Amino acid sequence: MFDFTAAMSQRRKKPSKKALRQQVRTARNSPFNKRRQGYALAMMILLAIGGSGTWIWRKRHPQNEGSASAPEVYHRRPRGSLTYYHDIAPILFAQCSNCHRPGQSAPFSLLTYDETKRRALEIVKVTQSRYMPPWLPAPGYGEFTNERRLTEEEIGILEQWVHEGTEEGIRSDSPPAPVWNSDWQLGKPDLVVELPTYTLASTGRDVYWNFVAPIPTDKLRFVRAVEFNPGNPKIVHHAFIQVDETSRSRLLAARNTPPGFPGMELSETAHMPGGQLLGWQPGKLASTAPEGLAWPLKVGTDLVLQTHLNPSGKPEKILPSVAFYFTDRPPTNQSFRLKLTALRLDIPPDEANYNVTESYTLPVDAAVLRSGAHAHYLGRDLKGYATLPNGERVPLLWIKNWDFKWQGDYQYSKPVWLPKGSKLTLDFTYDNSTNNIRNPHQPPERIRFGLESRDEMGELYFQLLPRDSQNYRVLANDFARYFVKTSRDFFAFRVKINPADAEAHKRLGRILLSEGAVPEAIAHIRESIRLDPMADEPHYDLGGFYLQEGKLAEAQREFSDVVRLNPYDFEAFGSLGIISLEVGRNSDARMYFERALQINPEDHLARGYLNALKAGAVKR
Amino acid sequence: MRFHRFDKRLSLRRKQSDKNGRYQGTHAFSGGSGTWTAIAWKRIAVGFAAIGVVLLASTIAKAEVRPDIPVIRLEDISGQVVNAFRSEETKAFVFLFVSVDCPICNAYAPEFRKLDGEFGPAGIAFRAVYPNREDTAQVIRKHVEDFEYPFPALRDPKHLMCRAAGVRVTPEAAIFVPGQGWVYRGRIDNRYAELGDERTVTTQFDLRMALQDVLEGRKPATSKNRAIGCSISPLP
Ligand code: HEC
Repeated sequence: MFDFTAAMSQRRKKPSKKALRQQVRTARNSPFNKRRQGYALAMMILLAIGGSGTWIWRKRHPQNEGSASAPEVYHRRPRGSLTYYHDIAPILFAQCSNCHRPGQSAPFSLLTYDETKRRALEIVKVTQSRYMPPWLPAPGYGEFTNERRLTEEEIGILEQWVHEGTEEGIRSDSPPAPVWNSDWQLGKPDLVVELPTYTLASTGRDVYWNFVAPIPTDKLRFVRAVEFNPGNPKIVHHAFIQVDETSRSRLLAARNTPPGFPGMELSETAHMPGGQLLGWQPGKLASTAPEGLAWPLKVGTDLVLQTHLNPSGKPEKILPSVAFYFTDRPPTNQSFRLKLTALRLDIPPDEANYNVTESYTLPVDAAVLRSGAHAHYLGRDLKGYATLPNGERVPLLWIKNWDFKWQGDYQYSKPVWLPKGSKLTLDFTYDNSTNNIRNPHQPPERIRFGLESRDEMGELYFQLLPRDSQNYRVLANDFARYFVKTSRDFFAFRVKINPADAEAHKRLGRILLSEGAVPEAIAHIRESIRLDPMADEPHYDLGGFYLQEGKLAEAQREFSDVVRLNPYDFEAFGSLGIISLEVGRNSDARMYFERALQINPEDHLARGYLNALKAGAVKR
Repeated sequence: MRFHRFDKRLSLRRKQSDKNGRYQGTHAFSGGSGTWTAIAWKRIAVGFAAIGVVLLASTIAKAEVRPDIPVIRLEDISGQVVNAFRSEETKAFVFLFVSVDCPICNAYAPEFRKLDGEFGPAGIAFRAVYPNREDTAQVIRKHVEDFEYPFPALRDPKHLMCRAAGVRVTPEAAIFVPGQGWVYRGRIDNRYAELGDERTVTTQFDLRMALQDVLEGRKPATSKNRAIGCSISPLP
C-alpha cells in the first residue's frame, strides 16, 4: 500500500517521490526488494506503536465561540501612587523578563529600574499596540497554556506610571527577581545533540537553514521531551524539530559545507515524530509529552532541525543544540498530526479580503492537544474551528493579525474533545493589496499556493489524540484518502489554468499513478518531461512504474535517463543494478551497485546486493 | 569644486587599525592633528566667512570658526573630544543616530555601509552618533567593529547633537548642509511602519532621495519624516 501517512505527517513537502519508490519496491516481490522496504516502513511501525491505553478522555463541554469575557477597562490609580518596585516590576518579571534578560531572544534586559526607565516610552508603545509580549492568538478563542498576554489593567498601569514620571519607589516593595535554570529548563538532559555551526551573513533576507546530525543512541529509546537551545537566540526566529530514520537528510546536508541545506523543503523522509508538534519560538517554555505519549527513537535516527534565521546586520554564528529526555515507559497511545492546507489559494492582485476555507470531517473521536497556523506574508486573519455533529461551533485558534515572524504552536490548557463526525475548518483571509505592508510584491501580483517565499501558504495543523491505535489507523487512512483527493484536485486545477506547468503535470501524474489511472498518469508525466526535459524526477517515476510492471527494458531506459540527468541519484543506480540482476547481467549490476555506494556509502541495500554478488549468492 | 575624500581616508585608516581590528582613524578627525593643515582649513573658512549662522554648542577654537558650519564637540571612540563637523570641503554631513542594542539600528548596518559607499565619494560625510549614555566608548568600539561601520563614530551622552538635529529615536538620520543648515531629519526609509510592523520590501528610500537632492543642489523635497525605532534614553 502507498503509505500517505508518511507524506502527510510532515511540513510542506513534495508528495512523495519517496512514497512512490516505496510502492514500487514493496510491490515487487523479489527477495532483493525486501530490504529496502525497511526504511519507509519505519514510519508505519512508528505509527502502529500505540497501545490500548487512553489518555485524557475526560469529556468536557466545548466552549462556545466568542466566549470572551466582558471587555476589560483600566481603572486609573490615584495620581502618583504607582512605583516601579511596587507596581511595574511584578508585571515585567512575569511577562517580559523570560525573554528580556541576558542570553535570551530579546535585544535588551528589562530586569532593573534603570533598564526599564530608559525605555519607558517604548514600553508603553509596544504594550499598547500589543506587539509585546508577542502572542498571536486572540483572547477568548481557544484557551492555551503559558499564554503571554497583558491585561488592560497591566497595560494601563504601565502607561500611567510612565506618564506620571516613572517613580522608582521603595526597593523592598519589589517581588524577588525571577530565577532561571541556567542551561535547560527541563533540568539535566539524558542526551544532548549539538548541530554543526552555521554562519549567517549580515545582509539579505531571512534564511531557512536545515541542520542535520545523528542522534547517538545504542538502543531503542522512548522520548518524553525534547528541549531546543537556539545557540543564538536573537537570530533564530523559529525552529522545527524533526527526525529522519533514513540517510536522505544526511546526504542532502553533506553536499554543503558546513553540512546542512537551505530552504523550506525537507526530504520526504524527515518528519515530526509521534504526531507531535515540536516547534520552538523565542520565549517558548519546554514541555514534556503527556504520560503515555512518549515517542520511540530508533538507533541510527538523524535529527533534522529546520530553522528560520533573521540577519542582524552583522555575521552571526548559530550553534543550536537539542536535549533529549527519555523514559523507560513505552507509549500507550500516539497522537496524529493533521494538517489542513489551503491548496486552492489563488489571490488576485489588489484583493484586500481574499477568503479561503478548507474542511475535513473526523472519522473517529479525537482530542485536540495543540494547534498552529502558517501562512506567508499575505495572510492576515487565520482562524480555525470545529463544527460538532449537532452544529455547535468550537473555537480552536484565531490569529487576527498574522505575523510570519512570530509563528508558533499553542497547547490547549485542556484538550478539546471532538466527537466523530466533527468538522475541522481552516478559514483564512489574505490581503494582497499595497496596504498590506508585508506584501512582498509591490505592485501586487497574482499569487498562488506554493512553497517558495514568493508564493503563499495556508496551513492549519493539529496534534490530535485518537482513542487508541485502532482509531489512529482509521484516522490516518481516512485522512490519507482526503489528502490524495485534495492534492489531485489541486494539481488538476494547476494544469487547467496553466497547461505548460511541468511540475503540476508531474505531480498529477504521480498521484494518478498511485491511484491506478495508468494511461492518464503516464500522459501527464510524459507531458511534464516534454515541458522540462532536464528534470530527472519524472523519469524516475516512470522507471519505478515500469519496474513494478515488470517492463524491464522500459524501466532501464527511464533510470538511464535519470542518471544521465542527475549522476548523483544513487537510488536510480540501485534500480539499474536490480534490473541488471533480473536479466542476469551480474557484472553490470555490480558496477551499478558500486556506483550507488560511491555516492551514498550508507546505501545498505546496494551494499547487501554487492556482498551477495561477491559471495556468489545471487541467482536469477 | 573638488570634494575632499574624507570618508575614504578614514576607511583607509580603518584598514590600518590595530591587531584587534580596532578603529584608530579618528586621529585624523581631532582638532589640529597632522592630516589637515591649518592653512587649508583657513582658506576654506575665509571662503565661507560671509554666509551662515554660527551655532555655538560648545567652546569654539578660533582656528575652527567657519560661520556656516556649527561646532559641536563630542567624544570619539578613542576618548578624544573632536568637532563633529570638522571636515574639509564637505558638501553635506549625515549624522546617523544609533544605539548598540536596538535591533532596528542593527538591521540597518548593511544599508548604512551601502549609503556611505555610494555617497561618501561624492562629498557626503557620514558619522554615527550614539546618544545613549549607557553606550560607553568601549561598547561602541565593539559595535562599530561588529557592524563594520565605515565612518567615524561619536558619543553624544549630553544630547548636544540630538537637540541640534531634533532627533528622538535610533535609528534616525539628519542631514546638515553648509550654508543651508539642517535640511532633513527622520527615517532612513519606510522599511518599518511601526515597532513590530516591518515591510517585506522597502518602497521609499527617504534618506537616499534627500541626499540625491542635496547633491543636485536642491533642498530635499521632504524635510521631516517620522522615524520608527528605539527611543533615546532621556537625560538624567
Ligand atoms: C517571547 C519573548 C518576549 C517577551 C515575553 C517579551 N519580549 Fe519584548 N522583544 C522580544 C524580541 C525578540 C524583541 C526584538 C524584536 C525584533 O527583533 O524584531 C523585543 C523587542 C522589544 C522592544 C523593542 C521594540 C523594537 O522593535 O525595537 C520593547 C520595548 C519590548 N520588547 C518590550 C517588551 C515588554 C514591555 C515586554 C513585557 C510586557 C516584552 N517585551 C516581552 C521578545 C520578547
